[in-house]
Amino acid sequence: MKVVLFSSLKFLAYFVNIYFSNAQEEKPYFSVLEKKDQITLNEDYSVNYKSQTIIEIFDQRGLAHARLNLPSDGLNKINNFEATLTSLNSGKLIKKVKLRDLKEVSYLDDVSIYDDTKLKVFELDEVSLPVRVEILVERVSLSNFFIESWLPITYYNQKVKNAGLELKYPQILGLRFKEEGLPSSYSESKEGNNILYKWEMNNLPVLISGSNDTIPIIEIAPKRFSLEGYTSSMETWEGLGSFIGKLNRNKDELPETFKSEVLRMVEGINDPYEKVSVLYGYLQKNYRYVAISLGIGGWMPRTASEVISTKYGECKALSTLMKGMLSAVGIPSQYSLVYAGENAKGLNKDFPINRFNHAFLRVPLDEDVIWLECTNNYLPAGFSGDFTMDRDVLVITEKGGYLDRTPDFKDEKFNTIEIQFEVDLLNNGDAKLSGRNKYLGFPSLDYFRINKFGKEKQGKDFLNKYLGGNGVILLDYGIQTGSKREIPLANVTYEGVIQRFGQETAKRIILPSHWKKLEEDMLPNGILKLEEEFFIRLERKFEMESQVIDVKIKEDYFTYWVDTQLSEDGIMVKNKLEVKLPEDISDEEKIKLVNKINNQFQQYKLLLKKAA
Amino acid sequence: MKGLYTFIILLFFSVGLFAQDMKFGKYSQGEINLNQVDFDPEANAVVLEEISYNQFMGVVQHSNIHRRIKVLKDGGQSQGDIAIRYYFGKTGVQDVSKLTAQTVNFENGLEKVTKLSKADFFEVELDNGWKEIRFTFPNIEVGSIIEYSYLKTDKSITFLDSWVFHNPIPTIKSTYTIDLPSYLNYRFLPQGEKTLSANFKTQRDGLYSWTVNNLNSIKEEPLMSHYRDYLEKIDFQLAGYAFVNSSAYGGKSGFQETFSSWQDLTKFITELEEFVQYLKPNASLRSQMASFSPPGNNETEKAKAVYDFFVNNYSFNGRSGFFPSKNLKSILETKQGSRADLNLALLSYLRQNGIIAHPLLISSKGNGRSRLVDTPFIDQFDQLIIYTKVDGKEFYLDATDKNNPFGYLPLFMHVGYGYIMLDEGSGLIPITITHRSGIVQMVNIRIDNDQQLVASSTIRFSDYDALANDKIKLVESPEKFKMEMFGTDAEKVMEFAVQQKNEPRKQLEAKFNSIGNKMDSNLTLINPFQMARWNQNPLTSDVRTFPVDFSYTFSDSYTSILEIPQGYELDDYPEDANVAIPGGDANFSYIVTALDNSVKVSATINLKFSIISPSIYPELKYFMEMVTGKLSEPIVLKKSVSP
Repeated sequence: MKVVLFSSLKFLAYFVNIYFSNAQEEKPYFSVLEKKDQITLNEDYSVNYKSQTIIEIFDQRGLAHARLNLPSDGLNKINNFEATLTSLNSGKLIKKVKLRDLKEVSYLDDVSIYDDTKLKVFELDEVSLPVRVEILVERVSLSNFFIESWLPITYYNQKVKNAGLELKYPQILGLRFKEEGLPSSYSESKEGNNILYKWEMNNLPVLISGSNDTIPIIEIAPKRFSLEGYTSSMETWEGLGSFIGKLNRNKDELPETFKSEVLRMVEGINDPYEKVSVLYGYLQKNYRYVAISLGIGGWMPRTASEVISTKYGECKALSTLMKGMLSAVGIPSQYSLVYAGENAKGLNKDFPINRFNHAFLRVPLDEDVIWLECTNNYLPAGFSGDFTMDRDVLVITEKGGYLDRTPDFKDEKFNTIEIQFEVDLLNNGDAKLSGRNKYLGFPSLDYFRINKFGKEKQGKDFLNKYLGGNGVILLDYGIQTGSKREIPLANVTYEGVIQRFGQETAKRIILPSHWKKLEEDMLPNGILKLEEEFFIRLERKFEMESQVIDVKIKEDYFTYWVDTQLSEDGIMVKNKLEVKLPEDISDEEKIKLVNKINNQFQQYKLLLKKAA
Repeated sequence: MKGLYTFIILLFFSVGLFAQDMKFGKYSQGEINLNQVDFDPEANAVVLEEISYNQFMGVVQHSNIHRRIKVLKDGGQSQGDIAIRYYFGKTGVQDVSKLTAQTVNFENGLEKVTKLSKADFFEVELDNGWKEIRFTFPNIEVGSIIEYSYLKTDKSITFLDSWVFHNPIPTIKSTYTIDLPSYLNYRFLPQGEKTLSANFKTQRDGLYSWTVNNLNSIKEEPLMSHYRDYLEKIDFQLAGYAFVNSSAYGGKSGFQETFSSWQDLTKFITELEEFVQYLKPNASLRSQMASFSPPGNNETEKAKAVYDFFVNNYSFNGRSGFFPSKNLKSILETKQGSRADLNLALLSYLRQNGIIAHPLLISSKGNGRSRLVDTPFIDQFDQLIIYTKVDGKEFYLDATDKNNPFGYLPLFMHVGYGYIMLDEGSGLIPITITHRSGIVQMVNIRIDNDQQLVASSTIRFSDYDALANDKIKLVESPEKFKMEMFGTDAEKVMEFAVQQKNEPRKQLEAKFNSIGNKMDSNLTLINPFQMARWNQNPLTSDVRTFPVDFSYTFSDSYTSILEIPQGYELDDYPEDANVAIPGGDANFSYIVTALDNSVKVSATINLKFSIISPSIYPELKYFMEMVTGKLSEPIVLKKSVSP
């Protein structure tokens, strides 16, 4: 939307300006920014970052806009930092801050035990507002392997008065960039042996969190690059792959004794999938995920032997060990890089760039390709879950590398719940319950986790809450997990009571024709088949008042069937829901749809007249 | 006879198991064989034993800490990731050294030891002077024993770090020993049944030791203020010290008692430089504050005006604690600060205007103190709020959220007692929250010309129900408020209007019409209410360890009148109900009255005490099931048979 507006700028300048000035009036901003940035690539592959910013802050919520976390480690150095705070009311200088005044903290993330990167932190504590903050930062990175992207707007609710970037590089090394959502074009010039690109933009629209506005960005990637003595080209994915290949070279070699142990594990097994499954199971049982990032270690895996001797490793090391084990039994596999988790962006075939946060393993088998998530210790081999599903990845080969795509697990066999139970309805509306449910694929994963990490009470609490509708109190249950090749399966058997299964009025008992409520997180990839089959046995004489229900509803994105059958001793209810969400459904639409389906579940009630 | 023999053996065995002192690297056969915890058979790991031995070298506390863990099942391996947190400050207030750690596996009766080397310990710098030593144990498998010990020194000895006997996994034995020199005297504050009943005296004076055995792991439950409030633990506060003052004439020595009474403690705190400026501001600060003169005819109006002025002009930086971080001068300049800064500055403003105001220290929910002790032990508190008395009426103030009107405290501050600091007579006082929260719902249901059900509703939220879920922030935007209340059903809600008032109490009132189904079948089921406090029972577990905390008491009243349209008759309706939990702290009544052309459904829910004991949890759960179930039961209308 924004890109279209900008590209029409020259034809509709007047209207566009009006549009923006209106937009700015509507959208609140807490600070105003002016910045001039320089990114300079040097012939020794180092990169200098110089940034001069002026931020005027009017609202307390804008204080965070002045915060800087400057990395400092073996590759990154901060050469200069100066900040000046001036009161906008009095014009008086409040204080000056130098590099030595900045506090230093360790870089922390949710997954690593330790990372040797330190952050120098500049933050505004309590200052009288409004305040003007002028900041100069000069940093150098000794490698151009990872060049920071440039964003003209760095914060929501920030008004950018002007923002400029000068990007300079030696012609001999070259450089590539990709723009997205930028309001203005660049100029290009030559300075001796260097090429200089300049961007200059003014009065940018204020961005608001949660809106669908495109965030303007310039992504920058090297052509030739170097990292601690390893040099390669990133102009092609193959080049980047070949560099990673160099870092990994021979890391997967196994000690001979261990190799023979591995061979023993698969003795007598012919099916390659079975072999993979046995070895993957061994890895899952005996090795744990522990990440410690030291130096180039962020990119270089520890050796398989080291992992064997400590019984732990990070994603790279565990994948490398698994690769080594597979190789020992004659199964080739490829170390692969991915941007895991949410917010993964597609990789551009024509713009290779180092944007990965995770490593796992690609294993081609006779008929298909499976992926092994080596940091997980309960999934069956080949079901790599939603962490890496349905996205582009870089596969590292002996020759280099190429892009591939992971499976989306949208097949029904990965998204099915089958609920089967019987209830004996008691006079007070409570019911005795016994049943057996089957979960395939994603719906089974909670049960794997409970079996692996939980206790009986946690399992019971989970089932009381999520097995079906309200009021469940289980007396006994059993959870069995397993797999059918790569499909994870869970079978749950249970017995207990449902408090107030039926609603009671003076003359009637009203019973549901659907038990399990739909929750948004039951649709991690937009697909679900939910089948229920239950028999309601009646303790005393009731007269069925409502007619037999036999409905099929077909709506956008879901189909729902309900079928009830009367018999002498009770009522049989069968219902089935099939959901298929479109790829681009928004969170809001998803919530609406889930709600609509739940309303649909409530529509068909069974009315029983109490016998006189 | 055989039975007796087994008994003796078992007794001997269990004593022998853990009786001796734990020596690093020496494992008893009991520890080696252990593969299940008696009192928690499903646990995947257990603390076999942990010891904290504390001594003083001069005025530095030395804690030798030694912990031994066994991995019992898959999943227990994650216990091998360790982080030891300490406050280094700028000058090494606390420090950690002499770290030793090893994994031991037992293979065919042999011990296989993997020791960690210096390079395996990482020092992590956290914010504000905090640090962590982190490390991970190698070669962990089911059956491994992992063990580590270290020395922690602490130069700040007025309050010693708490020792928590509980761990996230079950603990077989945890011992805290303290060897007090003759020149230091401490007061101890134990919490939890086992700690309270531990025999801590030893044969030597000054040497005290608490051992607590067989503790379950501790986990959070829904509707619970915080599990930390129920931990077994012990705290220490300096009660006195010996001193020698050689600069005095002829030298002077003696024993200085610290905080022997609440008034002593008050004197100590209020004379600290950080507090003095707030409590006794100088002329320049007073004149700065005098620039605001509150309107009002009486103390109450003035106090409210001061409070409103203050919360609208000063903002909270999110930092809590009872100790001010800045002085009054700085707060008046920057107009922002921590909770203690703001509340003390509010106190200065109130006093400036002749209103009685005193600092009140409380132990908020989650601070790890479910019960205060009536000894001057300052470590039991974590927040500073303000006590004020205007026109003879008491109020408690916290100036960190402008959405809270005068006299309303955030819910985590709803505690029974607080420590008031007065010029005389300081001590614990009860905190009485007099607000009567609740939801009043009035619904009128009729049928429009298109045979469509239409409900006109008024829902009034009072006091903490008006403040809950940031409702008042949504008043400005009725559309958002509507979405908040009805979610995606908001489409069916028309003419939604919402208004609020602060006087005499905080109230929000929403009025709206909503469209229901069409009356076209033979039987029509009509749900009389538009909303309920709980759509479904939040209590789903079948057992409960800790009290259920509803945060505040309330009294709800729901009334719905259904006008029976022409051509229809009332066929059926829910049965009346009247239930209460044992002790009567919560009750529910539900009455249906059939009138000539209408039917009225009335329901009330009352909660008289906000914390319900786990001993009546099953009854409470059924009560909640009853409430949520009854409130969604329908009235049944059927088409009249033409005569």
